[in-house]
Formats: sequence, C-alpha cells, structure tokens
Amino acid sequence: MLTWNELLPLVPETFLLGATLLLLIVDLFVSQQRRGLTHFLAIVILVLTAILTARPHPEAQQAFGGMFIRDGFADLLKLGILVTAIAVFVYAKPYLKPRGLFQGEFYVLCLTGVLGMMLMVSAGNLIMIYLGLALLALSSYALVALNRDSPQSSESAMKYFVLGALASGMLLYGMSMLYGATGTLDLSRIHGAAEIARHDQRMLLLFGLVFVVVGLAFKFGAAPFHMWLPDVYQGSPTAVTLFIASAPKIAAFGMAWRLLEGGLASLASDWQGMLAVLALLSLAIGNLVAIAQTNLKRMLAYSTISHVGFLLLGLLAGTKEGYAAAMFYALTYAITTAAAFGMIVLLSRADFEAEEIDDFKGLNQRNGWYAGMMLMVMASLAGVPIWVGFIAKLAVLQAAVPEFLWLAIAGGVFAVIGSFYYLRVIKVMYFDPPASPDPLVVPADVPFRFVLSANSLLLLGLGIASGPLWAWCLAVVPS
Amino acid sequence: MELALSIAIGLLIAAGTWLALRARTFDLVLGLTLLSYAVNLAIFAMGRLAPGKPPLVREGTAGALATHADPLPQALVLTAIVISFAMTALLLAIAVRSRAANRSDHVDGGGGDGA
Amino acid sequence: MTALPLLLALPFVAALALAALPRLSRTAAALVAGAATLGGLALLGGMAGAVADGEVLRFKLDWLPSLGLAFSLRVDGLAWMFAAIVLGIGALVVLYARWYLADEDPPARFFAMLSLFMGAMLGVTLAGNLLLLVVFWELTSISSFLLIGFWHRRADARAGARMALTITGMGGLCLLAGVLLIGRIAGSFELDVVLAAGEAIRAHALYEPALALVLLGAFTKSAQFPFHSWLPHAMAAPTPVSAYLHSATMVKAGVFLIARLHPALAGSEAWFWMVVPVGLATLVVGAALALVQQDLKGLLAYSTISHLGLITLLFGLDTELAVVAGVFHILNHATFKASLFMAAGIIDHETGSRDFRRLNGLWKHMPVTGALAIVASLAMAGVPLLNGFLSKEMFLAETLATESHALMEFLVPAGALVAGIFAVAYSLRFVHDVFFNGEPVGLDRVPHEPPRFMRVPVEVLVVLCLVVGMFPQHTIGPLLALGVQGVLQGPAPEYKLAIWHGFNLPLALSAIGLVGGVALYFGLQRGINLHRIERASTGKRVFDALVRRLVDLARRVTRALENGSLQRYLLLLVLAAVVLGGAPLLEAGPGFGDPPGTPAGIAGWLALALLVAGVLAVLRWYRERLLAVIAVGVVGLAVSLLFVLLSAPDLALTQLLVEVASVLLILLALRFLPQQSPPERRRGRAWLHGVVAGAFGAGVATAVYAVLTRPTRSISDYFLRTTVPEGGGANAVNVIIVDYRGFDTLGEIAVFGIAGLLLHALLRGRAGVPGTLVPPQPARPAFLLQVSAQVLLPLAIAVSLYLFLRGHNAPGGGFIAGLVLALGVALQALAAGREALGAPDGRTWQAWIAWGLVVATLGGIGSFLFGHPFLTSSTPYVDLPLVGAVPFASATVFDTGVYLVVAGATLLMLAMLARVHAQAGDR
Repeated sequence: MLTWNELLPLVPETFLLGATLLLLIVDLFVSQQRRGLTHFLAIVILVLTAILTARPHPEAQQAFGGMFIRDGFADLLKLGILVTAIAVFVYAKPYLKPRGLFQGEFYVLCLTGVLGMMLMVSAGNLIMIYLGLALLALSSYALVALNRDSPQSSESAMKYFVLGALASGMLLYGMSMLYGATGTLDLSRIHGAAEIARHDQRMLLLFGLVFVVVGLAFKFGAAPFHMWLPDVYQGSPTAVTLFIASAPKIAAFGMAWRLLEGGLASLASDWQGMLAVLALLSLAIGNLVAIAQTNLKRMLAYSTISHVGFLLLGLLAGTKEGYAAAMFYALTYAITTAAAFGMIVLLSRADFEAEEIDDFKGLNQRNGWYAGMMLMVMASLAGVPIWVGFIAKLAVLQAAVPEFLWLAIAGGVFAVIGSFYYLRVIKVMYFDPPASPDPLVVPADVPFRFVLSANSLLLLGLGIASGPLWAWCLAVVPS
Repeated sequence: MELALSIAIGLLIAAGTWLALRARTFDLVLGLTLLSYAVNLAIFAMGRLAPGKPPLVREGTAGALATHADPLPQALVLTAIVISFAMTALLLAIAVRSRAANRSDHVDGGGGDGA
Repeated sequence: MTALPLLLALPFVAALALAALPRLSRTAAALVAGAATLGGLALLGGMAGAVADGEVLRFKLDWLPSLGLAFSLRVDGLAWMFAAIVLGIGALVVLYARWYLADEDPPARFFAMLSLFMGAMLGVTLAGNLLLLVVFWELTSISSFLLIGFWHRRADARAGARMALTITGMGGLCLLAGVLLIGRIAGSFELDVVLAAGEAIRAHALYEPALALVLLGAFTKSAQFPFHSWLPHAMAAPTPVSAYLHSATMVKAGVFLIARLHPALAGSEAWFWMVVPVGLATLVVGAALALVQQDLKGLLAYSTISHLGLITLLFGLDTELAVVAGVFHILNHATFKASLFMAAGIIDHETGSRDFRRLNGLWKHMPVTGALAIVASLAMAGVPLLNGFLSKEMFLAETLATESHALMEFLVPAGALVAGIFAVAYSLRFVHDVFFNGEPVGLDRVPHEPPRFMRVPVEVLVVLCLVVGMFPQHTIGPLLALGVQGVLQGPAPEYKLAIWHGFNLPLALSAIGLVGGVALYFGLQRGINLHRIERASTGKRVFDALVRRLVDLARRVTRALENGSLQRYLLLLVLAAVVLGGAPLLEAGPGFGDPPGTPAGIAGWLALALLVAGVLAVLRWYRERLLAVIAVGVVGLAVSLLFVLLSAPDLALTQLLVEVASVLLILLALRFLPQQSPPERRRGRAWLHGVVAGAFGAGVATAVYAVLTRPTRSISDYFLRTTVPEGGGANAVNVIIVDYRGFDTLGEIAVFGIAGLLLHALLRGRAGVPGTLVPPQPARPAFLLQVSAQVLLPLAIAVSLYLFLRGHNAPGGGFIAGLVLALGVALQALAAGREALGAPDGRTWQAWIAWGLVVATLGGIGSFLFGHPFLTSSTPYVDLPLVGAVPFASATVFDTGVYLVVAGATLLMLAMLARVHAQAGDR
C-alpha cells in the first residue's frame, strides 16, 4: 500500500502541481500591469522544483507499485527539462509582452507541460507514460493556438492537434497490444514477460511495438512522422516554438528509453531496425530540406529532424554508451535550441517577426556581440569542434560504430550537407550588408540579455568542459 | 463474440480514418470520435471479454479473474475516455476559431470554400 | 612537461587578446601575434635537444576519457619539424602582413584570425590523440574559411571561402569517421597506441574503409585531384594567407596526416593503390593547369597542387627513401613557395594587378624583388644549386625504383617527367612573363620596390633556398633526419644529401625536364600565346553545379513532402503505420489461437448491430452534419452498451455521460460551422482513402482478434484480491481509481481541468470571432423542455450527490457525479434560453477547477495528517439516511476535488462554446 516513503519520490512533481494550481488562482487576481509577478512566480516554481529534484535522495525509489520511478536517470533528465524551461520563460517574456500574449495561461500551460514531461521520464508503467504524454500534448496544442489573432496559429494548431491525436491514439493502441500480450502495464513486468514470450506472443508484442515506435517517432518528430513539425514551428508564436522545440525532446528521449530499454529490451533487434530506418530518413530529409528554407524557424524545424536522426543513432545502438550519448545529445540539444529561438526573439519587434534568415543580414555590423552569440549557436548546431554539438555528435557516432557503420557514415555525410545551412546563417550575419544600418535595439530586459548570452557561451563552455556532464549521463544509465 | 468485436473495432477504425481524411474540420471531429471509441474498445478487450462478471467484490469473497472482469484495462480506458473528451473539446474550439479566422472549415485554412 | 601546453596555448592567447582589442594599430597587432610566434619558437627550440635524442615529449590531460578523447600532446621528430615550419614561416608571414595590409583592413581582426589558425595548425601537428587532431583539423578549416573571406565584401572571396570550407569540412568528417574506426580497431585514439598497432589495423576487416576515409580527409585538405579546385579559389584570400595557409602549412596538413599515420596505415597493397594514382594525377594535372593561368597566384596555386601531389605520390610509394624524399620536399616546398607567394603579393601590392597579361617588364621597376622571385622560381623548377633540385632528384630516383604492376612502373616515372617539364615551363613563365616580355599594360601607377621590411621575409626564405641547395648536409640535414625518424617511428634509412650523385638516370630526367620545359614554354608562347587562353575553372563549375543540384533537389523534396495539406500528412501517417505494422503481420502471420467463443447473447448482438448501423449511418450521412452527430451518438450508446454487457458498468456510465457532454459540445460548435460538407470533388481520392483506411482497420482488427484468442496472464488478480481487505470498498474499478490510481486520477482530472482552461484560453476575447459568423438565431426553446429542465436541474443535483456519496461502493464516484451535475445545469440553462453559464468570463468555473484540484491534492496529502498512507480510506463508514453507509475518509475529500474539477471543467467548456454564440449574436 501507499505510504509516506512511497510518496517521497513524488515530492518535486507534487510540489509542481500544487504550485501551478496556486499560480493559476493567483493569476486570476493579478492585473495586466502586474503580470510580471506571474512571470516571476513561474520561474520561482521551476527553480524550487529543480532544487527539490536535485536534493540528494536514496538510490532508485518507486511509488505506486512501480508506476513512478525516481532514479538518477529521471533526475538528470528532469533537471535538464527544468533548466531549459527556465530559459524558455526568460526568453519568452520580451516576445509575449508587446503582442498582448503576456498572460498567465502561457505560464500555466508551460508548467503543466513540464509536469507531463517529468511524469514521462519517470514512468514505470504504460498508464503513466500515456498520462504524461497527454498532459504535455494538450498543453502544447493549446500553446500553439495561443495567439488568437493569427489564422496561421489556428491552422498549425489544427495540424498539430489532429496528427498528434492520431499518433497518441496509435501509441495507446500499441500499449494495449503490449498489455494484451503480456497481461501487465508495468514496464519491468513487460520486460520479464517479453523475455520468455513464445513465438506467437512475440508476434503480438512486435505489433504493439510498431505502434509504440510510431507514437515515439511522432513525438520526436522523426521522419517520416515529422510532417507536423515545420508547420507548427513556423506557425506558432516564437515563444511557444521555443517551448515545444526544446524540453520535449528530453522528455521524448526519456520516454523512449523507458519503453524500449525498460520494457522491450528483448525485442531490441526489432526496434533497432525500425529506429535505423527512422534515423536514416530523418538525417536525409532533415538535412536536405533544410537547405531550401529561407525561414529560420522552418530551417530550425528541419534541423531538429536531422538532430533527432542523430539522437536515434545513439538510442538504437542499444548499449550503455549509446544511451548515455543519446541522453547527452538530448540535453545539450534542448539548450542549444532554446538559445537559437532566443536569438529570434532578440531580433523581433512588436510589429516584426525576425524569422527570415535574411533578417540576420549584417547582424555583425548592427551588434557584434549578439552576432557572436548566434555564431556560437550555429556552430554548436553544425557540430563544429569544440562546441558541445560536436561532442554530442562524436559520442553518438562512437556508439554507432562499428555495428552501424554505414548509418554512422551516412550521418557524417548528411552532417556535412547540414553544415551548409548553418553556415549560410553565419555568412549572412558576417558577410552581407544589413537591411537597415541602424544598430540593433536589444530588449531592455536584463535577465533576458544575461541568460541569452550565458546560454550561448555555455555551448562553448560545455564543449570544452564536457567531462562532468558526460560522466553524469554515463553514471545514471544503468548498465 | 471475440471475432464480432474485433470486426467492429476494425470497422470503427476504418470509418474513423476515412472520415479523418476528409478535409473538413467537422468530419475530423467525427472521425476522431469514432477512432477513440475503437481504441477504447480495443484496450478494454485486451483484458479479455467477461460478460456478467462486473469487478464488484462482495464483502467476504476474494476477488479473482475467474469470477470478475479485469479491472486494470478498465482503469486505463477511464483515463482514455477522459482524455479523448478533452481532445474533442479542444478540437472543436480550434475548429471554430479556424473557421472564424479563415472563413472556411477546410483543415488547411483557406483551401476550401468560403461558405 | 608544461612547455608543451604553453606552446600550444600561445597563439590562442594572442588570438583572444587581439579579438578583445579590436582597435589596435597594425604594428601593435602584428607585435602581439609576432610575440606569440617567437615565444613559441623559443619554447620549441628548448625541446630540440630532447627530440633530437629520440625522446618523445608528452603531455596528457583527460577530457572525455570514456569517449577516448583526451587533451594529449606528443612531440616527436615529425611533430617538431612541422611545428618549426608552422612557427617559422608564421613569424615571417606576420612581419610580411604588417606591411601588406591596407589602411582600411582591420588589422586586429586579421592577426586574430591568423593566430587562431596558427594555434589550430600547431594543434594538428602536436596532437597526441587522433580525436584531438580531428578537432584541430576542423579548426584549421574554419579559420581558413574566415581568412579566405577576410575581404568579405568581395563576392569571389565569399564564394572561395565557402567552397574551401565545404570541401575540406566534408573531408574532415570523413577523417572523423575513419579515425573512429581506427580507434575502434586499435582500442585507443592515443597516437602512441595507434602507431604501434599497425599490424592489427592492416589485418582488420575494416582496414580498407578506415583507410579510404582517412585518405579522403587528407586528400581534400591537401587539394589532391579531384578535390583540388578549392585551392585556386582560395586565392581570393589576402596574400599573406595564401603564403602561409595555402602553400606552407594548412594544405600540408593532408600530407602531414599521411606521414603521421604512415606506420599505422601504410605497407599494404590498398595503400599503394589508393595513394599513388591520386598523387600522380594531382602531380600532372596541377602542373599542366599551372601553365595556363592568367593570375599570378593562380599559377602558384596550381603549382602547389602539383607539388602536393608529388609529396603524396612519394608517401604512396612507401619505401623508406621515398619517405625521406617526401619529408624533404615538404620542407623545400614550404620555403620556396611561401617566398614566391610573398613576392607575388609584393607585386600585387605595388602594381595593383596580378594579371600576367598586364604585368610585364617589371625588372626595370623592382629589380631586387625580381631577383628574389627568380631564385625562388628556379628552386620551384628544380634547378641545381637550389633546394628544389635536391628533393626533386630524390623523387625522380624513387619513381624510377617503383616496384609494382608494369603499368605503374611506366606511368609513375613518365608522369614525373611530364610534370617536371611543365614545372620548368610554368616557373619560366612566372619569371619571364612578369619581369621581362615587354612593358606593363594599363597599370594605374608606376611600380616600385616595396617597403624595406616587407621584403625581409622573402629574403630570408630565398637565402634558405640557396643555402640548403648548396650545403644540404649541414643545414637541413639534422631537421630532415628528425622528421624522417618521426614518420618512420624508427631510425632513418641510409641516404646521402648531396648535389652531385654522378651521372645517373634521375639526373638525365632532370636535364630532359629543364630543356623540355624551356622549349615548351617558348614554343607555346610563340605558337598560341599563353595570354589568349581564357579558362574557367572546371572544378568550380562542377562544384557550383553540384550545389545547385542539391538545392534544387531540396526544393523538390520540400514540395513533394510539404504541401501544407493536413490530409496529405494524415494519409502519410496512416500509410506509414500500415506499412510498418503490416510487415510483421504478413511475415509471421497473425498467429490466432483457439477462440474462447464467449457467448454474446441477444443483447450483445443487438449492441454490435447498433454499433455497425451507427457507423454505416455516419458514413452515409457524414455530409449532413446534424444527422451525423446523431449517428455518432448512437455509436457511443452502442459502445456504452457493450461496456455494460462486458462487466464494466463504470465505464459504461462514464462513456455515456461523456458522450452526452461531447454531443452537446459538438452541437454548440456546429452552429459556427457549415451545416453540410461539400461533396467529394475527386472520387478517386476518396476511394484511395477508403482502401488505406480499410487496410488499417483490417490490420488492427486482426491484431485484436489475435490477442483475444490467447490466454491472459494478468497481474490484475492482485488488484482484485486486495480490493476488499485493504481498500475498504467493493467497486474494484473505483477503488483502483481512488487508491491505487490516486495519483493517476489526479493527473487525469488535471487533464480534464486543463482542457477546460484551454477552451477558455482559446475562445476568450472577441478577436477571433468576426461578426460575420453570426449563427442562426436559436428558436425559443419549447415550453415543455423549459418545464422539464426546471425539474431536471434539482433532480440532476440530487442524482449527482447520490452518486457521489455512493461512489465508493457502487459505480459512480466524484467523476460521474460531477458530469451529471454539469449536464443538468447546462441543460437547464439551455432550455431557459440563457447562453451564459455562470460568470460571463467563465471565472466561476475556472475557480471550481482550480479549487477542485487543490482540494484533491490536499485530500491526498491530508491523509498523512491522520496518519494514513496517501489516498487511502480505511476509516469507518458514516451512516446517512437514504444513502446508506458512506465511507468518510480522506478519499472522500479527494473525490470532492474530483467532483469539483469535472463539473467545473465541463461547465466551463459548455459556457465558452455557448458564449461564442452570445458574442457573435451581439453584433
């Protein structure tokens, strides 16, 4: 039965839930002029949740008979999610404010999404995974539609929603097949049951696995289940894109690991094949199509797809190193993306969305410092040594070689093609004349400026001093 | 009954998918509703069919699967029903807004008629 | 050994300092960069003794040990020699650039980038870990990109920079892949281990791919055919950059790598056949193309390509003496080519042109520069008494000694001879065309000698050419020996550095080359006039075409995949699922077991029939939306019936109520949507969709049936057994919800509540609802409905309360009770013709949701205060009249929260959708 001890692992989540509800109530009584209070409180909530998460606790705890698992793996991912979310909040403010979107609901929805993600990475049971996913998905759909004045926003919300609903329906169906085959929803028991499954039961498991993988691929945005991603990235308000493009990748990785390694490790040879196809397609489509984009948000969307390909490369290796590499990739990718969209916010004005690559023309002449910061971001995305993106790629490729040598080589080739479009952004910033000669008006928001610069520099710092994070990833993945 | 139920689920899936593929928001709502019925039934069926054995345990008797329906998938279905209701509501809101913004109920915005 | 990291750090420190002080003057900036270089040289000098004694200096700092990435530095003879070239020529280039840069060029930026490159290049030479080498390797590509694009306002500079980076960057990634393989094979990325593991590497199955990948990296960097064309386009860079990167150092990184990994990779057939043909082709093609350039630096660039081919070829021949010749030529080429580039830069600087067609007869105007350039050109041509002659002689000897297939035994020396002839011809052209051959054409100024110090670096290098050429043993001898030992990782072979080896075949070939070259040049000049040759670069065309193709392909793929149509995406999604899921199904068969044949009973068949009829009705009338909604309702009813029949009364009730709520919502929304769907415009597509959807449904049905025909192994037994004794309630599902699923339910109602808030967020405000969307005015509700609703509301409240209180022992609970209440209220409001439910902005229901969630959370946590585990309810029952025993437990508090949330959320949703109507009607 449930006892105090069993509840202890849930303290961060419970706190987050309660605090979010209180914030919802508080926000009802906050006037628009004092909305900064909601912003501040939301960040405080995240910080406190992070502290609660980071607090030392005994090894691997469980709650609700294993439905919820708190281990080092979950903790690290949660910290990644929380830190990214803090950055997202800081970056979002200067964007939301002049657009009349600076409302409590943005914060409440994001916090709910964060809660969903935390449940996803801690799930020990299919129900918990589905619940976490539904929380995240619902708040994401609503966030995408947040800008009531934009038809484009409605349209992308519709796309995201319909495809997402279908995909989570498939995931749910896959889960029910797993249940039908094993008679349990508990991942560790599924693991046990799958190991001793007879041939005909394996068949059912395999069928369930297919739908589970489809659901995962959709969440990741891996090709060919990526169609929603570019439209949604482009169509959403940048502050929202910021949120859905960053932290959910960490959660998706956590969920994938729990499902595939935690539950279906004995079907590894089957899902490795599926993930290999997804990875290859993602690398190819993501990198190739990104070249043709002129819209930065869209380009970043395709770049995400290609990065997912890399991440999958680590995941499908199916080894401790592979998982750690994928984990490292997910964590560092999330903060890199946050910085990238933060840069778009930086250049945007109340009446102007700086989403075209051309908007970055001559940035170096308009503001050398932030051009340098953008350079950091692009270099890291492109995987230039010694930025953290390189270390992440290196780790993933190492995990994939030699078993998946050709896939790794394909990854390398597409990475080169990929560097082409990041390079274009750098070229445009440094080599092209600016559209307007005026110096860049940087938002006056001091935390925004500080966090954006720190975040960009962190990409270099984490590359040089990648040891601790890598060691941490390696330590929390059970062998 | 197993075969009949499976076929019914298949029918729901096929009809729901087909409707979802129509390019109108309202058809999407209908399609997704049918799909959610199908998925709910499928999950439920995974606990195997047990007519006449509700999971109500009388005082003093021990529950067992021989005499009672499997409550676990039922709990999962409850979650699924709730979530699919939330989804339906959300989709309707988006559909209404999309119509208002685009003057069309075509799923791609302006792609259809203005009626 | 701390001098080692310091040596590497110096240029980076200088680069940082220069980047931080962008306003430095030219002299100051040059001094900073120069100080780092000279300091480095001093440190390097300090290591000379130890290295000469055969010691290998090491420094190691762990970076990512588990990835094999370590910051480890390693200096042996080869590394020392290369570092000496990098720093030595670097110092001269810094001095030269001080005078070369124009007033409008930002000096600090230039020297910062130059220092960055120097650091990267030093890193490549000193790296003791292959991954670290790759890191620095890529850094050289990037700094080279920045330097080539230094004059970024010029289109050719930008294009050249991009081309160079693309090609070398791609090579760098191949190198990375190759290195990863080598590391896997050798078990470490540490150079010491890898160099010692040559046997194992060559014997490994992955040797060939690894070798090919590493060589691709080296070839692209060293501009080997067919990857050579980036180098001529890199000539858009300022000349100090060309002198430094594109003749002496960076392009040598490729051959350096070949030399570095020689012990690990060389010594196989594959090595010979991969390296020699490429080197040979590069040697000949580069030499031939050099002759027909019209740009001073273009000629030098192609000549560099040719010489790099020569060095590659030598390493490919893979004899110890060939290695000696290769290392020697690296040294020699660096000296004479750097000086030639600098001379070309001086000419460009003083005349404003690099065009052979305009530059003539400069001897009169700049005799000193002329003399220097002539000596260096002669070294390039391989004329005796100059350093180029010595290594060329060794090269020719080695080509003649080739032992391989007969064809190669002929081709290699023949190619060497042809290239030698061309080398003489283009060297001659460089001298004759620029300094003699008539008068300058159309220069806008009178050329004169450059500033004194700009010439110093050239003088130093030219003197080196002469001294080495005449007294090799005493000047270059020790350095060469050092380098060779480093390459071979062992003692150098016996060789003699001398000008005169007696009359032999190589000498004859040299002579033929000299005479032939002179004849070729003057013959061509006479016959077709080299100035007339207009030649666009094929490489550039191919590169541009490739890039264009790629972008085109990208566009096409985009158009094919992303037409923005949700329908298309959905179809793709379903198709992908059908294919992925169909594969295992078709492969292994569904694996049906024995059907348990559960009897359906009349009610069961009726429910199923109702379901099928409902689905068919939806499909038939989906375009008549009102009818379709009713049909969907019928399907929902049938599903509820099935739940009842299959022993899930809880589900049935929930399903039914949710169904009613959904239909209400749909009807409300329908007022803002067209009442009819347009007819199918393309019947073919509808059929296609039908086929896909049918396949999908069939697959799913098959899988479900397959599961249903196998026995179950459920852990649910556990739940059933523990329900009564521990949970204190009889309704297993409900107990699961409250106890086992307590937290889960919290999540569920959070979802529910959030959905309500979402709807509120989405439909709040007027902006999204233009006045044109006024729906038809609702007819006044029928009197009967009004009356019945008046009765219904109190009834609904009563039923709701009853269900709530009974919930723990009978189907019901907070969830269902909440729904009942909400529907009652909604129905009553609708019947009364009121559109607004609760406060106009929905605040009432928002508060219900928020408080409900708080109560539920507290209900869970609160049980601790009474010493009970979370969300359990083992406290005694309270007897209420009419209702019976009511469990008064913390779980009841929890259920209250659930009740509030569900009712609040449902009402909020209904209110918001109804309100859209009210608003639109206002206008």
